[in-house]
Amino acid sequence: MQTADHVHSSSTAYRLMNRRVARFLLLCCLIGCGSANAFVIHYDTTRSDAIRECDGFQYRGEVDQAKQCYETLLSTSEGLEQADAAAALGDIRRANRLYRELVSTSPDAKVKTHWAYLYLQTHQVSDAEALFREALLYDDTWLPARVGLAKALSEGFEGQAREMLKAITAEHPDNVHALLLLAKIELELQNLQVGRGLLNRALAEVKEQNLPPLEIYALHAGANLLESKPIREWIDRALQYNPRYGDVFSIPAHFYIITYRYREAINLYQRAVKTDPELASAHRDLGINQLRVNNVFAARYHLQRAYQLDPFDVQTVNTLRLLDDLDDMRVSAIDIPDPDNPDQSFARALIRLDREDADALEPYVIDLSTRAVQIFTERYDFTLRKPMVVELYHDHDDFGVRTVSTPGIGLLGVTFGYLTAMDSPKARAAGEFHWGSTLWHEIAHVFTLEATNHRLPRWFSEGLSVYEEWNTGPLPDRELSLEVLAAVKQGQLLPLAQLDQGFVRPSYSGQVQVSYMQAGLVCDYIASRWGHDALVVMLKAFAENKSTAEALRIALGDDSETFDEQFSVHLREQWGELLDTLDEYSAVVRQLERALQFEDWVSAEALSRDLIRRYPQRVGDGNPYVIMATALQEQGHDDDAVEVLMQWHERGGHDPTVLKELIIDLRARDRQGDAVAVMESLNWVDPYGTDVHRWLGDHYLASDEPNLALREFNALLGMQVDDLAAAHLGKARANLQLNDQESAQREVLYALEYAPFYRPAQKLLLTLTGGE
Amino acid sequence: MAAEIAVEALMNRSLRSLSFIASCMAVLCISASMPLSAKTYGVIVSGLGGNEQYADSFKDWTAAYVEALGSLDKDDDLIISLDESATREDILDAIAYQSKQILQATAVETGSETNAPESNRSLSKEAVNFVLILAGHGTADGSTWRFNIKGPDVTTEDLISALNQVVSNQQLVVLATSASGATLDSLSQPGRVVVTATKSGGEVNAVRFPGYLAEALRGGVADYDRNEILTIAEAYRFAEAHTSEYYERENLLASEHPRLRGEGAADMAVALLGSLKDARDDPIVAALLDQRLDLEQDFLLLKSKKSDMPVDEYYTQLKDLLISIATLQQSIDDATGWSEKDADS
Repeated sequence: MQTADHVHSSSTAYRLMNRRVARFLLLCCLIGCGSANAFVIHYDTTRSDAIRECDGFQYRGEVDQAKQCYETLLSTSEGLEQADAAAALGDIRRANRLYRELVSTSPDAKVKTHWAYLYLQTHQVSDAEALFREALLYDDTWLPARVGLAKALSEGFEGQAREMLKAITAEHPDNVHALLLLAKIELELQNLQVGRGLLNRALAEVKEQNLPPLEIYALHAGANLLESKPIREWIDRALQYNPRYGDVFSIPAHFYIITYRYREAINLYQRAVKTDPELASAHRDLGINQLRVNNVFAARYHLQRAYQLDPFDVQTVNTLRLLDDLDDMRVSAIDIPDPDNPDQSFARALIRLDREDADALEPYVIDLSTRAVQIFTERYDFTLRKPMVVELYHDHDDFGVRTVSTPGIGLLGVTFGYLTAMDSPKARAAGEFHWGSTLWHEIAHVFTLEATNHRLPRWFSEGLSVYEEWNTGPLPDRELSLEVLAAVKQGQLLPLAQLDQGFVRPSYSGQVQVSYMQAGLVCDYIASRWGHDALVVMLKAFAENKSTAEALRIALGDDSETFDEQFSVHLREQWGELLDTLDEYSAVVRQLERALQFEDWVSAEALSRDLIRRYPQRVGDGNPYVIMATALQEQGHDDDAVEVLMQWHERGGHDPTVLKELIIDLRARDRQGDAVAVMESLNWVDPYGTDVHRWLGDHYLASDEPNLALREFNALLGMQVDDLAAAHLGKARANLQLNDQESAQREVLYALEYAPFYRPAQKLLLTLTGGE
Repeated sequence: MAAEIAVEALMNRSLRSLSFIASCMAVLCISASMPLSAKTYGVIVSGLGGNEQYADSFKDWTAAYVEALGSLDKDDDLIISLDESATREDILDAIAYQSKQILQATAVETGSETNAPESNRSLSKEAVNFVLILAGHGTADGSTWRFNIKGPDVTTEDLISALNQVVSNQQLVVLATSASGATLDSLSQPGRVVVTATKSGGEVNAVRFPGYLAEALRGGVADYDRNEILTIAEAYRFAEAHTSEYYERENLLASEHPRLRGEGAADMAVALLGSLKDARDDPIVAALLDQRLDLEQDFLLLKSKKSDMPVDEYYTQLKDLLISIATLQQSIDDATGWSEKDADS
């Protein structure tokens, strides 16, 4: 499944990941109990004739006959046939026992392979993968195991699966299963012609091999959706073959999901469960996608139904657990004023936050969401038609389940159209990510997805979000990591027409991150050369279902190849000098490391100065600014160190530890204005600094900006700081500046209720009451 | 003076590490029900650091503890501070010495015989508290907890025995060491508040809690109710919160979980601040402070009834009471010469 995500790419020792991972099932070990009914098509022609005869009833939708047939086999046959019959009947425990017994007595690749399929049937993909590999240890040419392994890998979106399937289909051009798996991947990559060709080859083979054509029809329907063609023809053909074949709707629905068209996908899933009310996977996906469009009640119904039908599905179980947590979250509605007419609101946002995080974060989420909606409405000539839902999860696993129904994902934020969900800053170690920038990125997705009815390629959606992060977001950071620069240098950037593959099926480690940056750079280049409006023209072209090539032609007058050439020249102009000297840069970095090792501060200063000159945008981990500041401090040049850190901050440096030190230094130098700017930046990366909120609150009181002061004191109160009295007093003073005496008096009473001898509050109380 | 004789006796027993807060006797004129009324005796020990960094930290922390407790009885000689050269015998002698000091002081007031069995002796009308703070490294095994010092360590059993000899209204035992949670069950008893830096003997890493406790005692940051009396409950709350925040901020697995056990922590002062610290000997101020304490009692009573009262009525009464407190505080400030410049916030 693809989503409009924002990839997180770092992890550090000592980080506590998945503190609450036990709440969710990563891989359940439920295979020993229960039952599960699933509609599975077996393309493995090594199944016994008797079993295949029963399968035939199943494929035709003759459920009763199929059941009777399998039951007869279960009671009369033995060995693999009996185990396969138990699996087909959904008697998982018995099937598992029978396979295990067979494996213990026979080192047969065939048995292991069949057993592995039972694990796939119960959604335990990594166990299935292990069994397929074991089968291949017995016989590395065993085709069903090779195909099974490719299937297991493809379920994890491993780029490796595609290569394996290409090899298998080259060696065994008649293998229907491999042809279908590869066709699905090619369709996901939008290689429609290749995908269709594979499906046609498979269609010819199923007739020869007496296999059902159902999935071929369903995948053709999916291809039609990608081409915006009607799917009726394929639906009719499938239902003619099997009137209960619900997957003819849910398989194409998958292609709506990967192109972000959740509402259309929901319609198809609804038809799937209507066609086959026992189809657990369709109920599950319907529930999950109802949740993505914020239909919580419908989601719960279908997920509960899915659980009844298939208790093994971890996605179902995890999402049901998340639903319980959702009920405890706090939802606030805000009306977003039209900047041209502030008395009128032109959009609405619903902010859903964990209760213990809500008071602290809400003022900032509201502030940023409001600004983002106002700016993007104008920049993309699109007004939100429905309320935008913004969810921040303080537990990363809750967020993982919310987005892909699985904990432990490496994402920061995901947008499903009008609903965007992301990690709250509390979900990760302080400063691990710039949450303000992530939220900005995701809200940009809301606009670009909805403005096109989700009809835009992945690269353009991500590219615009990155572009907006760089140009209008709360963080001016434009750093390309050294890994990305190396990829550019080594010619690993994809042609624009194929850039989606870098997101969907990465072929080398780090390619997703490289693709994000490439997409952002492309959008930035278009805006710089043809103007921001060219991007809007492209967006509108995509909304009209144009391809990347067509959109480029409409907006820029260029074809893809010409654009790729121009972009390449642009990159050389922008980054050529650094790319040509990347090895030298790395050598200087190594020299700097040695200088630091020997505390040679004079050399460290010179080397870091050189690195800044070569690549001033580098402000993230390992940046030379902070090292240079340290070197200057060590030589007694404290003021110069502060100036270097200010340059780092202005370029988007946002390490919270360094920012906090910088704030202290600036305050010590009585540079309040600079200190306030740094404090504001700090809150977008680490909003839980109580001192910062207190300082900012006091500053805004002193500068007569009561609304900003209220934001700060509300955040303080939300953090449940020990000193609530001071925060209430701050609110009282801010209210007084707003001429709201009643609120001021209420807040001062709250302050004194915590601290009855708090002199400044006492004084204000006496002033407000005239010493009544 | 009796205290001087005792000091000499202790010095003769090679307690060279002793340092006393220079002081003389003073009587506090504040209501007997409040923490200020208690005379507080204490023994504060800095354990063996093992290296310079730890030694400096322990020294720094104990200096903060000594200064804070010293503020309770500005002119008294009530706090004994031992540095890392202290031995087990020094520590136990110091506790025994303070026990005798308490008995002598109470005997002077009540006129009772000091050679009567300790368990039979009664305390004076004025409350007497005893504080023991051990800051350093601790270890625990299956049998006992040990405070790491020069020579044989002090064990849980040593403390139980020594503390049982101290006849005071309230005891506060702060074990600011690793593994100190091992003592919680053994040391807890009525009339004693026990604070440990860890929840069990299994938390053996060096602890940060004592540093935050020192920070709480150093200034007014932990005086949450701004009454200028810092109680152990407030100091603990500050230190515990900051310890927990530290591990959360650094995303580290918390290797210490401080604990406070026992009744009366909210009434047990560990430092005086501001005007109370500076002007408590002035009889005019003392009289005003008496009034303030009465109003504070009214305030606490009203707050305790909050859930049973209509909201409007509660806040109306609260406002009236707070205006009275604020007006009185102005009088106190006028009398003490306090100005806003003196305020920490």
